[in-house]
Formats: sequence, structure tokens, C-alpha cells
Amino acid sequence: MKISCYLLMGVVLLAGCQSSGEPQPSESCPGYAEAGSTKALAARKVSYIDRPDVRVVEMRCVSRADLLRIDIDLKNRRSKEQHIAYRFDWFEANGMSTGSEEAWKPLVLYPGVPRTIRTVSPSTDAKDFRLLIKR
Amino acid sequence: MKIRSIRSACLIMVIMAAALAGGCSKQVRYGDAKAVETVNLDFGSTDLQLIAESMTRSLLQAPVVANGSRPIVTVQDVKNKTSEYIDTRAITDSIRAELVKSGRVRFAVDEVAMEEQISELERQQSEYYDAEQTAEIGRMVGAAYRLQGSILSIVKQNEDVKDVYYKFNLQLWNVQNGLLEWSDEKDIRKTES
Repeated sequence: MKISCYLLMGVVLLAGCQSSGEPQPSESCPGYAEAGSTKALAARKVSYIDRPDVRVVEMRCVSRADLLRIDIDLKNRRSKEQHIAYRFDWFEANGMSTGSEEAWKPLVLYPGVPRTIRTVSPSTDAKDFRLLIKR
Repeated sequence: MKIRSIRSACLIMVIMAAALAGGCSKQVRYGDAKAVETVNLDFGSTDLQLIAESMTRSLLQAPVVANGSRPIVTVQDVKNKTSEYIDTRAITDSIRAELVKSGRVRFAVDEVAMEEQISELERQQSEYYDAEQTAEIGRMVGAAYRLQGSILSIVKQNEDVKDVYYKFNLQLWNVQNGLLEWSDEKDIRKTES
């Protein structure tokens, strides 16, 4: 009886720690609440053109000075070097696109090494994003 | 029989000529202005766009801009230290356009546009304008900060490979006290083999 009480208290304490702790990086990204997981969020936020053999490993978002800073970790799924290009599209809170169309940015991915792409929103109006990756 | 064979020979020639003409004609179509351009190693549209975007996003995070005070900035020269012709004005124009769109920076008339600004001011002082609506002389606002930069390139090549490395550097200086408030760089490497 004593042991089960201690176990219960431990579980309650752990749950309390989790809920009051810092949010996980992906949780700060717009749309995470609807998606529920990093994988589901990536499926919503990332579009692939010409089937690049890459995978989004992690997404991190931080709002600083009303600008959205984003880090996205990509992993090359091939055993050799891969050349891709990427760009972000930006949207206001109401879903309207904002900012100029970004340039496609070339990126080299080495096998087995994650690569982080970093960006910051072009204006304070930009509250949401979409990442496009193409081979 | 002879006439028939001549006719069919002529027909074949006409078809071949048409096919050749079709094959030689160049097709014109619109492309993606933001696509990665790799026609040759020279400084190109992708380099310009990458530099402008990288510098703009970095500058937006600089404390003097991020604090929301909408500082007044003027654009000075970007020195071209490369061996090729690069319109550095196009780079600073793109940076300025993006910063203006962000709403976080205001720009004062720069040295290049000063002549036109003064000319317009003086023109408005003539008797043809409504005195109550003309711009007054002596009301222009000076910039608190100035943007200046440089671009250099390192080119190396052997029989098989040519490598070009560009380094773009941009700095934001405080006009009043001469302090460097922000600086960033963008590297670009291109290889042809």
C-alpha cells in the first residue's frame, strides 16, 4: 500500500514537472497544437518538389522582438552528398501571404550529418510559414 | 513511275526541312526569377538575392533595429573588391527595399539621390506652387546610422576545376558617435568542373 502511494506521488510529481517546464522546441512553432507532433507538423509545413531524399528531424521556433526565428534540422537519407534548394513562404495570422517571394537557396547535405537551416521572418506581420524543399 | 518517285522524294525533303526548322527554332518561356541560377561562375541573380535576404534578416535582429525605434539609416557605397563588374547598388537597393517593407527601418536620402532631392526642393520654391503646401527648405532629416560594406572574391583554378569564393560584408555605423552597431557577412562558394 505504501509503495503504491509513493509510486502515485512520483507519477503526479513527474506530470507536474512536465506541464510547468519549458515548452519543447517544436511546440513553439505555429500550428503545433493542431498537428500534435513534430512529424505531423513537418508533414503540414514542409512541401517537397522532385522528391529530394531528405527528412525533417526537428523544428524549433522562437518569437523574439515580434519576429519568428526558425531552425529546421534536415537529414540526408542518402549515403552520398545531396544538393538541394529550399525557401520559406510566409503568412500572416489570417493566412494571407506576406513578404516578397524568397529566393531558392542552394544547400549541400552530407551523408549522415544533420544540417540546420535557419531563418527569421521578414516582418512582424509574418506569423506562420511553409518550407519548400526541392532537389 | 519516275514522276511518282520524284514526288515522294520532294515530299520527304519538305518533311525533313520542316522537322529541321522546328528543331532549330528557339523556344521562349518565362522562368522562375527566384530559381537557383548556375549558368556560369560569374556573380549572378542567385548570389544577389542570397546576399540581400541574408543581410536583411540579420539586420532585422540587430538591437538598434529590433528595439522598435525605427532608426533612420542612409546607404553608402558597397566597395567592389572582386575582379569582375558587380552592380553593388543593386544589392543595397534590394536590402533597402526589404528593410522598408519590414516597417522597422526608415531611410534618409543618400548621396546618390541627394541631387534630385535638392532639385525638387528648389523647384517647389517657385511662384507656381501654393506656398502653404510646398516642402520647406531646411526640414530634411539626417540619418542616425549609415550602411556600408564590401564584396571580395577569391578565384582559384587548375586545368579541371575553377572555384570562386565571394564574401559580402555589411556594417551599420552610428553617425553621431562612430560606433559599429551591427555587422554581418555572407559567404558564397561556387565550383565549376
